[in-house]
Amino acid sequence: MAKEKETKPMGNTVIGSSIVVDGEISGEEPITILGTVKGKVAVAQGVVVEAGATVEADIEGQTVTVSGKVTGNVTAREKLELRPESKMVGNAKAPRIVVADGASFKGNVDMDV
Amino acid sequence: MASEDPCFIGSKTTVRGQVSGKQDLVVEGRIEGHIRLESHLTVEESATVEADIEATMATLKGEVRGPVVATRSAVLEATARVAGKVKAPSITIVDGARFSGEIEMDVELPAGVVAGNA
Amino acid sequence: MADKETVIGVETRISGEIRGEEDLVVKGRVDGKIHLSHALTVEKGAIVQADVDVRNLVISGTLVGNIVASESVRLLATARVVGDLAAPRVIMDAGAAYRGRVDMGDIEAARAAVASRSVAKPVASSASTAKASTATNRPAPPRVAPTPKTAAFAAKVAPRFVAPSASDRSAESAPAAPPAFPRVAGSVGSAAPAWAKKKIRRR
Repeated sequence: MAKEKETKPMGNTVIGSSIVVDGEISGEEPITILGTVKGKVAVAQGVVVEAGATVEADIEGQTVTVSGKVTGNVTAREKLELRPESKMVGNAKAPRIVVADGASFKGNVDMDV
Repeated sequence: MASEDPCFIGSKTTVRGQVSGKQDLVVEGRIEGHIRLESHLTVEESATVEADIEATMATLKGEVRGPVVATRSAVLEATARVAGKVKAPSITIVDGARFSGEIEMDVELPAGVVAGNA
Repeated sequence: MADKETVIGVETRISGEIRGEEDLVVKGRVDGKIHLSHALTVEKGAIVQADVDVRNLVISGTLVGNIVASESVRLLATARVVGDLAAPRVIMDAGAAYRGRVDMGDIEAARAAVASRSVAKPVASSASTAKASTATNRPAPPRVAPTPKTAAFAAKVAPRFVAPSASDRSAESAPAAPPAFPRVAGSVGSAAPAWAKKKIRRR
């Protein structure tokens, strides 16, 4: 089962598209979300919310890249990126923020980290 | 008794009561009662054992009802039909075995894990 | 993005409920509840402290919690499992460590087919008591268990899984009827089954 890992840029933890996690996710490795997470995500590395994913949770990560839907406050220690088609409702806190054309965002922005 | 040949209970034989000893025991028939062996108990596919069992090793291929306590290992082979408690430091259940009951082994859990009853 | 396999990585911890319609591989830690229509794999080194309701389960790591699997459960040699287990097919490799009740359900069907002896105890009550509520008043399988010492064991084992999800587990765990092992002695109902009384039918 160790087929992924290292080479996969999207991370060592993958929450598949039909998975619903209702609770808290924490950890020290990158995490990619394709499914649904409700609760809280607080990880030491990167968080990727793929297109089609739904996250109703506060998110904390080193980098947070959103192509799906996030409802919650996001804190990125390095960078927050909202890709086209992403939707975010919540407060964003990151030293660098990229909001692509087509992204939808509603909330406060704090770059003074 | 003594010697190397196992004690053998044939398929048309029924034993009721207590069976004990240091000799290996192979059962193809029926035993009801208690079995106390310091040796290897084999319950063959055709056998039915309804007893309190204590043995060093138990190889179960037939029907067994009763607590089974093996001091070394217990194996439930594919044709086994076992009900009751099985307690041994090593237990193997082969695909196809049917079992309902309790299994008791010492389980060393890693730090930070509590076995539920807390 | 290739494979659509959900993996909880080695350094990831999830506390809460996981549900889904795909396979899940746990290499890290999950506390809570897992409910999948597919297969769950708990790898060596992984820790799952959760009630689990899945189709197939393969364990090489640690799992503490009640297990219901609609198809099969396999404990590999490095598995360490504490909890009730209900599945039609159970495989335990030598070396696996396990403690708890095992219910394979259709043993009763097999038994009933063989002999028309007092099958006794049909499903009814067992469904509700499917969780480990001690050997004594359980209509379910280990009727054989209850000698005083085994009752003590059962008591030690039972409270462990206060199985919150026991009720829905029981719905799935007892496929046909819980194995009310037809005992030679006929009527089952008594709280202290034959073994407790330890009656040896002697001449």
